[in-house]
Amino acid sequence: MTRRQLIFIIFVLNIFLSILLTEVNHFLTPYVLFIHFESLLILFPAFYFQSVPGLVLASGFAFFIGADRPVSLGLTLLTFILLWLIGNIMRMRIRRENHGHIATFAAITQAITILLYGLTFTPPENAVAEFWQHIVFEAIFSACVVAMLSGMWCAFQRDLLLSFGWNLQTESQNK
Amino acid sequence: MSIFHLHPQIQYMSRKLTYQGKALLLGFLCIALWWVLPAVVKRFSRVGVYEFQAPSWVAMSYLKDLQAYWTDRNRTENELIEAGIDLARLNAAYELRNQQTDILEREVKALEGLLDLPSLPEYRYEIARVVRRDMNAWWQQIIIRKGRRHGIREGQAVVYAGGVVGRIEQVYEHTCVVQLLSSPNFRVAAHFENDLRPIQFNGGINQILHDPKASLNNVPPDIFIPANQSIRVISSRLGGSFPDGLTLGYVQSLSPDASGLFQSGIVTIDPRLLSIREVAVLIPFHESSSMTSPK
Repeated sequence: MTRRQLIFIIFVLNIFLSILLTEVNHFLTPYVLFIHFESLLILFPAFYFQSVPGLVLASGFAFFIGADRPVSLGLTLLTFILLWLIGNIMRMRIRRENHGHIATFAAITQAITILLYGLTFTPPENAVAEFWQHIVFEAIFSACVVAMLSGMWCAFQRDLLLSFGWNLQTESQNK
Repeated sequence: MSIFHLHPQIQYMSRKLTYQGKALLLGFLCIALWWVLPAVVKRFSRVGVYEFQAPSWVAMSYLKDLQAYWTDRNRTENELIEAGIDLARLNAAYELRNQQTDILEREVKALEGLLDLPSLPEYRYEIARVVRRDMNAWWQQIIIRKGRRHGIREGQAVVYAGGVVGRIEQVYEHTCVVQLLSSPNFRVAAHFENDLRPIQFNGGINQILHDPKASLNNVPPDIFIPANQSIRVISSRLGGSFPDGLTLGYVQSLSPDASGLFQSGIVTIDPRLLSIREVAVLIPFHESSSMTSPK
């Protein structure tokens, strides 16, 4: 398989994950809970791929996630590119094989994303406290879930590419 | 050692910085490109991506229906017989109510003719299954399995057994997005069950693990709610999209607002809204007269 085809497989896998998490959110609605998972989609493109494929993947995810949200698509795109940029800048300091590093990065970026969204929305006049309580709880809950899943998700994608003969780990060390 | 001979670690870092600089440049270029794109392209890309992924949600929804079907197949005959008896009783009650409704409708028509009033808008019900539910701090919305093809348009009312669900926010070919009445941006004209004066209903008080709530504004100061009682808040036809008399929620107490001229209160919304699986879209007859609903 060519590298483009493999990157496409990663893209499809991530879309499948987002559909799966959307279904989880569907069943969490009676408890008014919601899992935000933007940083989970960005981790692999930001830490394992080169600039151009990583950016293309990040933008693609932004379009997919942002299409059905009542926020501007530009804001979603900006958030995803920002997360991808932070990941790229942090690449030097983070050991990808260390699950703790990946989980911490995922949790922090996810919480930042939620707070960023929170700042762009105008809370209802009579429920400002409830609005921010809800956002903080969602940020903590989503960050915990994303942190739990991040290491496994990255390792799975890396091993999958390795089984197809693309060793991203060695390639980036030799670069 | 030459003064210009850099330490290997610094050389490594400078190489990495070049890579990061490239990433930074690419990121900013991408953002700038999106910024200068015409609005039409942005709108088209949004709709295009939405329509591309909508079939996957619809497929998941059909799978859930299939799962429910096979779960129901496992029910015992006794359970089905009991359900049949209950349904027969309900049907009998509804038949009686239909007869009463027919009489009332005739009276309304007669009064309209006598007083030379314009007739009330009439609606047809387009039943739709819920594909997705999203409830978070910012938006509370559902996606339903009917769209433009079925005559649905933006702003139309969506109802269920518990009253109002919300209104249509975005319409696509086979699906549409419904803004729930618990959403922070939801505003509608309402009134109390036994008082026709208009009040303002605002959604948006959503706490984790709590039933959804909304607020009432501009309530006249002479309205009083006795202790341990609640008043039903119903929709008003003043807003244009909702017919009169659909339940929005129940309010238990009112307090003077900041201006002192009016009162405000907290409305409890039916918790069934959070696990809703099927809704009906109210399509005005004058909008649907030229359309045929596909089966």
